[in-house]
Amino acid sequence: MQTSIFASCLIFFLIGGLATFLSYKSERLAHFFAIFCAFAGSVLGVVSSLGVLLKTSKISLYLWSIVESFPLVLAMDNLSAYFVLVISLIGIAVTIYSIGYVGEYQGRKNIAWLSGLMNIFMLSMIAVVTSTSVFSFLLSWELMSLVSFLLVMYDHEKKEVRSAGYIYVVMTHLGTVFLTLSFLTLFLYTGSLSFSDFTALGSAIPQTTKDIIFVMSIIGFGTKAGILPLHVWLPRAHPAAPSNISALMSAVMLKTAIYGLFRMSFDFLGGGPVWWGVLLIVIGLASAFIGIVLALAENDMKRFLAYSSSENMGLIFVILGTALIFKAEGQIFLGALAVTALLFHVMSHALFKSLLFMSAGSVLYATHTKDINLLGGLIKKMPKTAILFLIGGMSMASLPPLSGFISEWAILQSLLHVSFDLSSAWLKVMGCLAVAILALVGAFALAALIKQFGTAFLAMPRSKLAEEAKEVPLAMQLGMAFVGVFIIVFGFMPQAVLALTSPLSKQYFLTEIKSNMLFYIPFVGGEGISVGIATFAFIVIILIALAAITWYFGKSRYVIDETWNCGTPLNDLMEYNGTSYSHSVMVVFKKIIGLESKVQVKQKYEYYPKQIKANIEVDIGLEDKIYKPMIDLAVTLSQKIKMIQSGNLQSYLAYMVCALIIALLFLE
Amino acid sequence: MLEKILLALTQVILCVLLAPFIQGIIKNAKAKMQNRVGPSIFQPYRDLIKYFKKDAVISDHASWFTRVTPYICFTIVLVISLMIPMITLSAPLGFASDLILVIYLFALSRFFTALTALDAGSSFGGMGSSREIMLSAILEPALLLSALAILLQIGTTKLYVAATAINSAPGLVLQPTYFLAFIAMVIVIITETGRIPVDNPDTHLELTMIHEGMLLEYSGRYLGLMMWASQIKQLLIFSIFISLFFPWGMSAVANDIVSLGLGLVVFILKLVCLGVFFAVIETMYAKMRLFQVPRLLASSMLLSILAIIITVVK
Repeated sequence: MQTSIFASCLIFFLIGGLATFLSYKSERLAHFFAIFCAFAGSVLGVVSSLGVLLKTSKISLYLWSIVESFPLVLAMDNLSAYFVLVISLIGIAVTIYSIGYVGEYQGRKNIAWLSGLMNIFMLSMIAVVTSTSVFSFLLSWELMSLVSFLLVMYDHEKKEVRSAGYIYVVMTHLGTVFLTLSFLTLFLYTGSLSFSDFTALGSAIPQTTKDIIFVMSIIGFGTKAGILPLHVWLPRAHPAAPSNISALMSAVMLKTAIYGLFRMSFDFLGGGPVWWGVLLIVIGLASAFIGIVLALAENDMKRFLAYSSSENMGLIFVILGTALIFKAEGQIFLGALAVTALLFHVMSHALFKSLLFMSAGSVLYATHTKDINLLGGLIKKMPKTAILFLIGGMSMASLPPLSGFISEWAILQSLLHVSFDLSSAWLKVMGCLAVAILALVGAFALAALIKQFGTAFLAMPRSKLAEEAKEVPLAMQLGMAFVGVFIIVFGFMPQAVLALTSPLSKQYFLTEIKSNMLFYIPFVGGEGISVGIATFAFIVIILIALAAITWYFGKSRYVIDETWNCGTPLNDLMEYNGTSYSHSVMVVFKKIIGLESKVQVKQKYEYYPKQIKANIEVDIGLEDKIYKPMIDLAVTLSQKIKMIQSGNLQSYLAYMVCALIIALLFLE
Repeated sequence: MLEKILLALTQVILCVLLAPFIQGIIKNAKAKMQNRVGPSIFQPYRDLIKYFKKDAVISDHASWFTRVTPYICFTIVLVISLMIPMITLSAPLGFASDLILVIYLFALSRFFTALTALDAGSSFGGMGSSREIMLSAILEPALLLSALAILLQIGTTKLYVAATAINSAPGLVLQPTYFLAFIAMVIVIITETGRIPVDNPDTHLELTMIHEGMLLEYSGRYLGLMMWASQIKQLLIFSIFISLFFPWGMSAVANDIVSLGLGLVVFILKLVCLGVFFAVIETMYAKMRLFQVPRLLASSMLLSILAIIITVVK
């Protein structure tokens, strides 16, 4: 039963993709068919993964095999099921949203292609997290990369979209190279390509080899996750893609990298020494900090979200590292807490980031711009989008009572317990410092949110585009609201997510984290918090306060008037815009982020300038310092190798003969 | 159960009623030290009553945020007041909260304040808000570190557990970490409550203001609620300080009138002493330039880290 549901989920995606390409001439029909397939596939994906997680049964689906040793088997254990759940849950929302959003492209582009490719994209992501052998994993990984590349390039008439697409495809293949290498090393030692053999034999590999495999997979998966300094494609590709696709890419495609790294470090390598965890924590902290600082500097709404994804992937790396440390130290209770925090954050990041990308897409749909300095006052024109953006944003800034806070709390608690309960002095100090850096990152996320929301949605419109904005179609609102509801529910009732993560914390650390009202730590008498109780207190107090104030002082009275502006009429140039808002923070951190402000003065007389133009640029210099030398090296090497490319057919045939002989000799 | 609800009610009402009084004490003490007569210690109450009776003016650019934020901020600080030990060593919502939740609830109220400052489109609001988020970005790690310097020895983030542990082990106070963390925390509190040398709560001059800049567009009842909320917030920050550094005198039980009464008196005395202490600091120093403040907070962080290292090495 479970297996057939999962099979039909895959078939829906496959038909949705293929049939669309066959019938793309009747565009609208094909588009609606594809949307229907994607929706049905996502719903079935949720159902089948919930079945696995709640009944803790397993699914195994044999598809076909090319040759005997390369079978294509997709299977779902608890870990796979959790990620399938996240992918298909977001899939449902994004398909609903897409019905309205394609209006942006209608008439200009073939919308059936967009919806059809989306099906294949969903299929490839689900295949990545359910693969059971190196062969099917790399196949679907590559399919996922290529399909997402095509989707990024959807708007290929624009030059920046093309350049973003090419950077993306190069970076993602760089990652695949390292993944292939680490899988091949595993193959050398285990003599098998199947994941179950890796799990069984992987822990017997010599430690040095394990270290090498681990580092290579950090590079491989880190590229996909957008970890510093491999993040360069992320802030380019995500804004360039259509917004429904950026929502999928940022919210779920990045998670496949987390899935891979988790599988690799916990299952295949069976945990490792403490320094693995420390390495992940350091990389994660650096990524989170630089990511959020760049997000704060950004005035492009979608690039801001892309940088924030880089930050959140950093957070997930930190908590993965913490879980590895607890595993190395044999702390099963705290390990269970860390794994729960990790999975919870995977869920809440997927929810709020898809909501934010969808609402940024709605702003783009209504105003045709992503530049917040051209927006303003949208809360009056698009009240529903504003509220949904606010819900997503508050969850991103980890404010209670939303789900983002719960996962942030669990991450901070796990790190704090590194300090409280482990014996090593270094780890204790590191835990405290990591908590402080995460607090800084959290405060920056809050600042970035206020900047984006305040500039785009509040006060006066800054351009005609914003003045003429209208609320988006109902389908888009529904898609966003669907995710919004989950963000709120998971905040009040973390036990709903804990019910899904507890099989995993039990599988990896033998401890279930479950509770009815409180999110508690299964340690020292069970400390915990409850956002639900705090919210209940909030509601009671606000009702009493309102009643008491109205009863004692009478009803609130107000008149509407102009904003006081020292006597002159206020115009939109006098408002704080996005750039000026974040400038004060930037000044404090100017050494780290390479802040450069240029002021150009056009003047007739020295003290009476006619026009002043201030330009602020932020450049952390990664691209110049790391990428440029590497690109130069690659170009030089290619020119050396070019020697053998003579253009002469005979010599090419000679190369082939030589290659064949070498291959035969090698086989002997 | 009944006595817990009664205690919760007492704690909320105590915060609501006592906060303007502490503000009055600080203003009066400052005036006395500057050889002025100064306002009566009950002046903040009169101000609040006046604000509540007046009609409000709302900008035509403003959205629903301007009308909702004052109530949200006022309620959030009252919710926090249930999570901090004040009269007793336990807090009414202590079982469901910890220091991190408290810090993030403060962040929630700051979020609404800073966002609504942009609502009217005035550049003063934007300026205050931009400065506030700059300071809070550095403040949050400083606050967490200074609290951690103490909590590391106890191994919990629960405020009531920490207060109980420190209360029963007075030996903690004699350690060098305690003094380092104390100074670090004092710097944090000055910033968090917006006092000189970081911010000047008594000015409306645009070059210096931070918190007041954000409140510029409020009037009438909305202004009253925001002022009251910031006074209660000040009291709550003092209470966190008290429960981490000198919880002595708090009642250990919740059902004994004598020890509860004693706890109440001691709590008010401590608040008054802290108020006078910060008034002295305000009188002794001049306001700092805005971009010097991060250095002050950085020194607070360094002190906390030093305290943490000393604790760990021991």
